[in-house]
Amino acid sequence: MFDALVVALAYWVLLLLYRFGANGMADRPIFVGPVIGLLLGDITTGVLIGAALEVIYLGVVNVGGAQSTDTLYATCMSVALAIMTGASQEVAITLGIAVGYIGLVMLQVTRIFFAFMCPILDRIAEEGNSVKYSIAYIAHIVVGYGFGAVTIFIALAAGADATQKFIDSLHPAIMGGLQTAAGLLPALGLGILLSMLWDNKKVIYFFLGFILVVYLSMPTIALAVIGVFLMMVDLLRNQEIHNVKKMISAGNMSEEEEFFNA
Amino acid sequence: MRDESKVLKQILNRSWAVGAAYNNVRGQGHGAIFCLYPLFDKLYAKPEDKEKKIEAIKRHEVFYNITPQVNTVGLGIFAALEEKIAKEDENFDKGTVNSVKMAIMGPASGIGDALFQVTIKLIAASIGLSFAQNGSPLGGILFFLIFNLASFFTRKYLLGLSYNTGEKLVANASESGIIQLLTNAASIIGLFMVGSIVANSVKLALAFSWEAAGGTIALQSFFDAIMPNFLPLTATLLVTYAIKKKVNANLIMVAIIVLSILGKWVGLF
Repeated sequence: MFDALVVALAYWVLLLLYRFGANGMADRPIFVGPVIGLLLGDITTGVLIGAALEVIYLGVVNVGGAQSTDTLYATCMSVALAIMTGASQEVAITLGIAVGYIGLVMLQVTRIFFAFMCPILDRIAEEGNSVKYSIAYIAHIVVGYGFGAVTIFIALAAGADATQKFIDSLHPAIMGGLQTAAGLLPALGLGILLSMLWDNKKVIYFFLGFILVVYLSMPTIALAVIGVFLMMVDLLRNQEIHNVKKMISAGNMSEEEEFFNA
Repeated sequence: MRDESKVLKQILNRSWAVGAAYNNVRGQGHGAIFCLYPLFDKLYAKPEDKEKKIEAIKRHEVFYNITPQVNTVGLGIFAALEEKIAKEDENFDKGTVNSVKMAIMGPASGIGDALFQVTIKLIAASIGLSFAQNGSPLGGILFFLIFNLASFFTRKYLLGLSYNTGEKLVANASESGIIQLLTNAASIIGLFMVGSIVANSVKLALAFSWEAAGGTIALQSFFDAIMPNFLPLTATLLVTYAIKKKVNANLIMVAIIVLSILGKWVGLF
């Protein structure tokens, strides 16, 4: 009961940190996992589940206010279920992903609440009092993001024991299969990202990144630096092409430039 | 100038919260009013200007939405325009504020999402993951710090740039082709990092083997002979193909889980 309350409050605080922090990624599993793990007294489980979920959810991007699941909700539930019921990490991850959609439903409730508050905030803004408007703006947001936390508390306080019995009754093939699925699900998150970035002329960079790791086991920091180099080379080259194009269309090429572009 | 930079600092600090009340009616509209309020307070400090202050606030009671991490690119322009309105009043077309607002939302969000939701998130995540996958909580902290430092300094730079350039910024950016250049470069580093994460994170191995002349042959050994991590790569490319063919992502997720369980059942995995 106490653990359920702690996780629910942590969800609320992290969600506010995310929203008040310019969508600053405080909802991402890699950050949330250790926090929930620390609060429930098993930080390593939190870190590992967070890392696994992070890759699965890499393709989840919040663009233009649209969201496909609630990664914060899923991470809180996964880590809490693993620590509170002793379920294996793979099973907890799969269950967490499933309940992540509850968070998405609660987000819609929150947004409807904000929409209803719009005329009220307009009225307060028009009073011309900066402090009063700031308090109203902040307070209605703090309240609005509390709805999801309530469902987390209810689910964990009432459901942890039932979940444990359910997990214990599962067939070994299902448990093993979930383990395989946990290794394979990152392909989905990465596939979504890949399909967004896909460009036949640039896909060689994808294979280069892959090859550098499987054959050379290159560490990530080195990869990031190489990635920046590759990006700079492309940026400078395209900038030059762009400038040349502009000069051609302006028709004021010097002789030297004409020579090089012949 | 002293005065201006103080207000700009307040706008920058408040810009953290610009998207906090996002909703389908106004987007970040009330967030923008929250950010610009210190400016209105300064421009219309005298009690007899209260009418004009309320008029200015009402101008911003419209839909507004730009990627939060680059949001100041809009706020800076609005601040510059609102100052012009406050000074020149009758001679300045007040509709400019909202026509600029409509014009800048799309392009600014396009580049903002490509940069932050994909590129910077990917770099921060892959560095963080290299720690977190070994059980170190440092991964989450590094991820959070890298992303938000980039977010803060980008917003700081863009606020100064957009405040000084004003509404000309929109025309300049599309004319110089800089948006196209940056999006293009960002996708290169994105693809590169995704490739490395696929190699590190997607896991699939076959358990199936059979008896043949003089020993056991594991199916997996054939794939290992082609290339390490050949199956994870193939699986990722298959999923990518399915998504490009507009297969629902949740359906793919269910398919992965069901196939994994079935594969375990028959002894393939």
